[in-house]
Amino acid sequence: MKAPRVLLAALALAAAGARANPGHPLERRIVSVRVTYQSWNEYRPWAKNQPGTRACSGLVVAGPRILIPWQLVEDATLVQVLKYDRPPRVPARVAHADPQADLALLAVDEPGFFDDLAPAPVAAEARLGPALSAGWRDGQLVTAACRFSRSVADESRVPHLYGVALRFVTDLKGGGWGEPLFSGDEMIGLAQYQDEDTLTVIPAESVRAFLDAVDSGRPYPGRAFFGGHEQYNRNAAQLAWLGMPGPPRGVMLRYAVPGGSFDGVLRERDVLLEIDGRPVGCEGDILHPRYGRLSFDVLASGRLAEGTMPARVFRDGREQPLDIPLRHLPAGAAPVPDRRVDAPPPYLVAGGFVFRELDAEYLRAWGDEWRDRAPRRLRIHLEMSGMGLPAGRRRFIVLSHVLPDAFNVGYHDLDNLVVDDVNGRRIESIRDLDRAFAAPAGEYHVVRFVPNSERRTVVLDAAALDAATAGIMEAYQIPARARFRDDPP
Amino acid sequence: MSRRRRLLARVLAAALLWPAGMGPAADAPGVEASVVRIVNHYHRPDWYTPWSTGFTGQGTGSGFVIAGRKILTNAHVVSDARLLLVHLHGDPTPRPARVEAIGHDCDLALLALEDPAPLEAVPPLPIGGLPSIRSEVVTYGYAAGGHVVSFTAGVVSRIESQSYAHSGIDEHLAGQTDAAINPGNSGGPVLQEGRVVGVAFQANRRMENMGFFIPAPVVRHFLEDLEDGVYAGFPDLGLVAAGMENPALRRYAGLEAGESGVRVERVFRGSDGEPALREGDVILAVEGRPVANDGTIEWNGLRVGYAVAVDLLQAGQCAALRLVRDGRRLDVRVPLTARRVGAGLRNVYDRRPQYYVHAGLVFVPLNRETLRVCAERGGRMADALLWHETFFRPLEEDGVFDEPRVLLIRRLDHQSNAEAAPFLYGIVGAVNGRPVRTLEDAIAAFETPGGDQHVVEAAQLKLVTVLDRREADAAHPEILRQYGVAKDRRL
Repeated sequence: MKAPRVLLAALALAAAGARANPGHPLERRIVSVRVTYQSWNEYRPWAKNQPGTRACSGLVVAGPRILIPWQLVEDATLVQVLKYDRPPRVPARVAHADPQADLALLAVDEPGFFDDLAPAPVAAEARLGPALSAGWRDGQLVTAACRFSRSVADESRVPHLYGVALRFVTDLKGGGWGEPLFSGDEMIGLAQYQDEDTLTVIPAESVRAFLDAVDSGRPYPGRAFFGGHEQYNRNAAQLAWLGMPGPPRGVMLRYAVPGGSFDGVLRERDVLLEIDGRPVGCEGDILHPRYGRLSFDVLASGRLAEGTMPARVFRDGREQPLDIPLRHLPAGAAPVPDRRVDAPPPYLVAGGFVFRELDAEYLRAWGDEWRDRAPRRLRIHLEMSGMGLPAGRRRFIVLSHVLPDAFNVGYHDLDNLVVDDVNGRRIESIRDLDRAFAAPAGEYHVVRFVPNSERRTVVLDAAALDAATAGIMEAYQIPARARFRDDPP
Repeated sequence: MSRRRRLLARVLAAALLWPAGMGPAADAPGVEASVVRIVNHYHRPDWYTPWSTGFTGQGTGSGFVIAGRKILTNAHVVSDARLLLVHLHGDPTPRPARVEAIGHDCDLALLALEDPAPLEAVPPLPIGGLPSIRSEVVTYGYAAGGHVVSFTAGVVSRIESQSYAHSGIDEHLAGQTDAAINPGNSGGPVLQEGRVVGVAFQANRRMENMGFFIPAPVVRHFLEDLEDGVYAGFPDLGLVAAGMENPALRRYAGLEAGESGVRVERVFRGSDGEPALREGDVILAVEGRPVANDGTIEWNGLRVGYAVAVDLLQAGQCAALRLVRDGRRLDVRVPLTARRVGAGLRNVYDRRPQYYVHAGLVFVPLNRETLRVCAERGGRMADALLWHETFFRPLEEDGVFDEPRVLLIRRLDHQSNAEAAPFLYGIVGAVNGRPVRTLEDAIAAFETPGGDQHVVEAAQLKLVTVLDRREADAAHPEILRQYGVAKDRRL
């Protein structure tokens, strides 16, 4: 039998911590989750990579449902849950997810599954003392002591969200697979990942906000995101230049990310003095009542994207009140998205030319050292997009490579060029590309790339394109000519 | 032309006109006598601390004597030299030498001994022609820094255009041989039948038993260029052109049966090609040589890139091109200069860094070296912004390469500036409201009386550094003293 690689790795890393006595109350609150996942092949965007598996813990919460970090069910093709880490494996499905907050709720449709399980109470807020992590390992419930270390403002792996993350030092080995942390009887956090002896934990408040929003029955608006790029204001000379009296305070806005909460509300060189009733320090810090000094950005992540948040700014020589509309910025909002979030790569094959949307997932296909190895120009587009700088287009469509064929001879070595226009039509999506190929410029399709040091123009025989595409798809076993984005940006 | 330059010109002309048959054979005993070992005691600047002594070291390479009692070697062997010592074959006395001319674009340099008398007894090596593929060659040099000349034999495997690592951006013809070329061989002659057919210059670590040499036509170009006593450099049309192997592209461009060429995809602003060429032109022939659809021409029995035909012309000459434009055939002559678009992005040698320090803020001109420092120190963000600004934005926006720009490369901490939020490793847009392109602009902006603050604005990201003018100006001499900066500028 071919053993699942990830599962074996997880089992090998297991241990340390202590086995809980049989019948421990937590046995009824934690289930094992087995996830089979399959990511997309970024280079052959019509295909998928080999599947893999993940083994992790899930917390039974009211509903009853099972709570786990979203990243563990990313690209899932099959989710199964086990009680007491023993067969049978019962199918589960993702009922709700907030990838930016890294939270997902699983539903189990099998009647009676939860009968001998008990939902865990979720604390209103994380307690920053000793805690106990717990998770199933090899048929046994393993618990480990955790000691609070510090709180940080953490940028979510799925943009755009800055949340509070808690760091606990633990003697658990190989953790970070969704183990819940308990203080007394209550769950105070959910382990996201572990680096050596330090667990990074989603605090209970974030979990509660997610559960409350889901349970409200209203459409889930997502977390708010300010989207400001600021500069410290700790320099007296800078204050004087801004005309601000008093000691250093607040941060100076440089620019706002389009679509974020600050967009259109704060202006360049506004100084943000106060937000949600909390003074903003000259390094952009606020005094969080529980977690101490943190970036003011975390105030957005604790709120759903609805309503407004009061703020005060220094503008035009005086302090002014403002209401910040809390907006959610989806992961794919940037011109070069960092993550696609459970979505396949949009692509189009025409005459052997493989076009696709540029995103960080594509660049990560260059391997662990992709930041050095992926094409520099594409990496620069990603970096500048990540900085919120104007890209001049909604999306970048890239000629990934060419599937060699007599039809495209002479162009067959081209790769990783950004498409500028096709048949005179500006290209900002795969759908734009499809429409452009439907309207040739006379006898030809004329594809123009953004100026580069290689080739700018490709000319194809319009009358022969469809037949060539069909033949190439057959030869290279491509099941579909194109895939479009469901939610065109 | 100065007397020295006229003399140099005559000497070089003599080298090129060396009659056939006068040089020693490759395996003749006299060849070793013409090959020298060069020791370069160099001094390289510290671009991050531009006022400092920098780095000193020693490197060795090879060279060979040519007519006129001169020594030819690689530019990279003698770059940044503070003391050059030439060791003649069998002579225990090191001979001080100086660089008479250097071509960083082609990695060649011409040396003269301070006292040329010892060279009178050394037989000069004549410059030959282009060796044929598969013909045998012998390389001579002081491999691995050895004190005794060594030689290795091999065949010429390939001759084609290749990047020259020394400058980082130039491309010329290069020969490939399986005769071993190791560190120390650089600058040594590659001989065939007693004539120099190349100068060993670089290797590829990823390839085994492969070395590269600068072939005789490139060497001759360098020497001919020097005939007027001034090295101008290789010309360049300054364009991007792409092959036309695809039949649809040829029909679209209006080529007739039997015609072939390359399509002009981009003509850089300020280039030699700009007045005569435009995007969409098809270059059918260069210097009377038909251009194939893969961009090659037939040249001395080889197929080489069409640009070789221009590369081997001299600045001041014209390149003859036959074009198709809008369906018409036309012949144009493109006057060539020594201007090369992107030359500002070459690796920098033999130059002391320019800088300006004010109140602890250190400004430097943008060049390949300062770009490298900032990209390494500034992390991904600085790397992306600087590469975009330097290489890609001019390309995308039809801008001008090599525009002067100023970088804020570091801050020398002082109480007067420590709380400022400087945008380090970034391009300066303006100082005190005045646009800044050069260090002179920055100096003028700082030294012109104005408001209560010095305000330095970044060209990107809308970052701004603000200093109290009175405090900063007062602290300026103290900062220079504290950090050992003898002078606040070098321009």
